Amino acid sequence: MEVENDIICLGRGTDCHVYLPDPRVPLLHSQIDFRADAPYIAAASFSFDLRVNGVVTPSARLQPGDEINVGPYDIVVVENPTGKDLALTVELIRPLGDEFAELTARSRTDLTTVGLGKRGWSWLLFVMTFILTLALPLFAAMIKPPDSREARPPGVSDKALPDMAEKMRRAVSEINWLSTADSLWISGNISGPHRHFAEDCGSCHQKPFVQVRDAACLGCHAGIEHHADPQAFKTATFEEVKCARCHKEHNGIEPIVLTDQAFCVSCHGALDQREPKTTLHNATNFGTDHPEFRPSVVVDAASATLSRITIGSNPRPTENSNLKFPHSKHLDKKGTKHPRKGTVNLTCADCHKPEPGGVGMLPIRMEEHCHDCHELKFEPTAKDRRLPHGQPREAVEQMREFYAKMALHGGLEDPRAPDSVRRRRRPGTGLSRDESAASLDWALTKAAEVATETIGKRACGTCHFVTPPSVDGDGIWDIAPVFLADRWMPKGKFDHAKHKQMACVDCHVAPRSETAHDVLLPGIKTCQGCHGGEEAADRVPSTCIACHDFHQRGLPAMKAVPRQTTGSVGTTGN
Amino acid sequence: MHQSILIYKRFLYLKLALLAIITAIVAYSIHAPLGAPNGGTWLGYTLGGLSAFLVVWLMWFGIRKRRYAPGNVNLEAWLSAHVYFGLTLIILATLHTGFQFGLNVHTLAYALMILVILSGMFGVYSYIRYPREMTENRDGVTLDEMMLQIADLDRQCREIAMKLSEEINATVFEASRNTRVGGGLFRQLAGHDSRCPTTAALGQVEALAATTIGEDAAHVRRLVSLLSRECELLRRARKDVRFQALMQVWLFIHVPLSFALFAALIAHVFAVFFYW
Repeated sequence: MEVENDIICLGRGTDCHVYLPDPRVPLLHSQIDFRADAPYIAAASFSFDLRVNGVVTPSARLQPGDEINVGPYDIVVVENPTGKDLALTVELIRPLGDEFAELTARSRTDLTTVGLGKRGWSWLLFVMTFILTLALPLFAAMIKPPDSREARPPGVSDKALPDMAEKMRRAVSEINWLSTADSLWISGNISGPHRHFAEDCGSCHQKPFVQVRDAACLGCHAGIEHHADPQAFKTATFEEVKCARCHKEHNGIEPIVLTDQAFCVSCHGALDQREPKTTLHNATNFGTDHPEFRPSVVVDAASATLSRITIGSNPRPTENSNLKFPHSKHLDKKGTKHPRKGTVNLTCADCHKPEPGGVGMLPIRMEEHCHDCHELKFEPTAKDRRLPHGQPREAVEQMREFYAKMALHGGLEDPRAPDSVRRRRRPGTGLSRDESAASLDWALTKAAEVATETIGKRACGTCHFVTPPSVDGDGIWDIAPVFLADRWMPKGKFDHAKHKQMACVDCHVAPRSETAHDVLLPGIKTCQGCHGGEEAADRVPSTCIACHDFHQRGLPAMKAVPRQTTGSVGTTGN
Repeated sequence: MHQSILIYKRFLYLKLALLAIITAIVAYSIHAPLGAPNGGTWLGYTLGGLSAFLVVWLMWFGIRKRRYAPGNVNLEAWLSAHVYFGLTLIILATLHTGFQFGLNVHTLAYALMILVILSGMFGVYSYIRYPREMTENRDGVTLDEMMLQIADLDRQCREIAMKLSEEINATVFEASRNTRVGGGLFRQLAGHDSRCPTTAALGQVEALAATTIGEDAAHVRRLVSLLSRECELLRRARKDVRFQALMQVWLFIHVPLSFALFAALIAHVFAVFFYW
C-alpha cells in the first residue's frame, strides 16, 4: 500500500494512513514525519506507550530494522525500495481470536462444571453419615464396661473389660461427647424413674442383638410379685412373658407401667370362662361395666373372719365387729354431751385423722379418740378414778381393791354397808376378825354391784358386748373382742388425699348411721359420678391400674432370680 | 408419542401406590397396640421393613438407568414406579415412626428421607414445567447458536466502537472480553447477570448518544442497536441456562442425600437390633 503525506498517522482511526483495525490500538497511536530527511516517529497517545525496539520512548528516529510495537501489531522498518522514503511491514501477531470459542470458554452453562459433582458429594455424605451415626456410637458402645446391676448366679465374677478396651475407655471418658456417642441411638425418651442410669445403655441392653432380658430388670426389681396365686390360676402366671413385653421403655418420661384398659380386659372381660374357679366378676370398663363393690367385712370378730359382701344387696349387708357405735348420736347437729364441756359438736375429723401421706385413715383408738368423753369412771365420789380400757380383769380387781380400801378406811355413809365400814375409825383401833371378814365381804359385793353397773351397762356395755361372770366363776366379766377391718377393699387402692376436695359425707353417710353394723362404704355409682373408663370424655378417665395393682403384694415372686453375689446392688422394695 | 411418566400405563403405578397408602393408613388406624404406637410393634416392623426395602429399591434406579441393555421392564416403567412408590414412602415411613420424633439417628434417617423425597418432587415438577418454557424461550435456536450470534455481535460492536472515542471503544472492548453466559451455581440458577458488562456498555453508550453529533452519531446509533440485540440474546441465553440448571440442580440434592440416607438407614437398623 502506498501512502503520500507530510505526516503518516498510525492508529485504529479510519483516517490513519497506517490503519490498524484492532480495538486494542488507540485511535491515533503515533505519527511519522521527516525531519532533516530522516524518518522520526513520535507518540501521539497519552494512554498508550510507543515502543521502539522494546524501549518505551516518546520519539525515535527510524532506521531499517527497527521494530515498532503497537498493541498486537509489529511494524518493522525495511529497506526503502527506490523512490520511497520509508517502507514498513505491518504484522498482526496477536489476533483477537475466535470470539465464539472465547465466549464459550468464559461461560459455564452446565451444572456439571460446578463444584463437587453428584458422585463426590454422595461419597462425602455417605462416609460422614456412616462415621457419625454408626462408627462413633458403636465405638462408644463397645468401650463401656458391662453393667454391674445384673442379677447373676453366684460364682460368676463381675465381667471386666480387656486391658485395651479399658485403656480406650479411660482415654475417651474425658471426651464426653465421644463416650456417650451411642446416645444418638436412643429411640425415645427414657422414663423418669430410670434416668439415673440412662447414660449406661448396657444396664438394660446387656447383650448386643439380644432383647432386654429379665435378668436386667430383676437386678433392681427382684421379688416382684405374681398377679394371682400361681398354683390356683395357671393362666395368670405369665411364665413365658418377658418383663419387657409389658413394660416398654423409650416412650417418654412417664413411668413404664402398662395402663391400657384393653390389656386387663383381654382376660378379665371374660374371666369366668378362662378360670372357672375364680371368685372375681368380669369387668371391662369402670364407667359402664364394672361389678358393684364387694368389700371384705368382719362377719365374726372373735375369729377375725372376713367375708365379701355386695354393697346395696338385700338384705342389707352388715358388719359384726362386736362394737356398738352410733355415728348418728355422735354427729348430732344439736351437739353431743361432754362430761366437762357441756355440749360439743363433733365432726368426722375429730376422730378420723388421715395417716401421714393421706392415703388412708389412722386406726381409731379408744384412749385417743373416745376417752375424753367416755371416762370409764365407776364411783361418783372418786372423780379422778378411771378404769383401764381393754383389761376387764384389771378393772374388776381395781374396783375390788378400791372398795376394800374404802372398807378399811371406814366412815362410809352407806346405809347398806355393815357397821365396820360405816364406823369412823379411831387411830390405834383395829378391826376384829369378824369385822374384817364383814368388811371384805361388803367390799367384794359392792365391787360386783358396781361392776355390773359399769361393765355391764354404763361404761363398758355402752360400746361392748359383755357377758357377766358365771355364778361359780371367778367374777371376771367377759368382753367380746372387737375386730375392725383394716381396709374394706384391700385390693383396691383409694387415696383419700386425692379426694380432699370432697366432703366425708359425700361418700360415707355416717350421720344417718345408728349402728356399727352399717357398712358405710358408697356403692360404685358414687364413684362413677366422676370416674369413667379409659376413653371417657365427660368423666375422669380411669383405667384399671388407677385402683388395682397388677403385681399383688403378698404373692410369691413372679420371676426366679439367682442369688445375688455379695456386694452388688441390693434389691429395692416394691 | 411422548407420554409423561406420570401417566404411564394409565396411572398404573399411581393406583398401586394409592392402594399401598390406603392399606397402611387403615391398618394403622385399627391397630391398637398396648402402649403407644411405635416402630417396634408388629405393624411397626412391617412398615419399617417395607420402607427400608423401598429405599434400597428406589436407589437401585440409579443403577438401572445406566444399563442400556433392555431389561424385562423398560426404563419408563421403572421411573414411573420410582416416582409413585417414592411418594408412598412419606406415608409408610411416617406411620412406622408412630409419630415419635427426637434428636437421634432414627429421626435423622426420617428427615433425610423426607428431604430426598421433596427434592424428587421438585424434580418431577421441573421436568413437567421447564422443557416447554425452555422451548418457547429458545424460539427455534439452540443455546450454541445463540452464543454464536452473541459472539458475532460482539465483533460487530467492536468494529464500530473502534471508530469512536476511546471511552466507547474501551467500554465495548471490555464488554466483549468479559461478558459471559452462566457462571457459578447461583448465577446459573438466577437467570440474569446483574453485573453484565454488555448491559453496562449499552447504558453508557445510550447516554453518550445524546451528546454525539455528526458522523459519529450514526455509528453510535448503530452501536446502540447492536448492543440492544446482544442484550436481548444474552437474556434469552441466560434464561435457557437457568432452565437447564433448575432441571439439574435437584438431582445434586436428591442423589447425595439419598446416600446420606442410606448410611443413616443402615445405622438405624443396626442400632435398633444392637440395643434391641
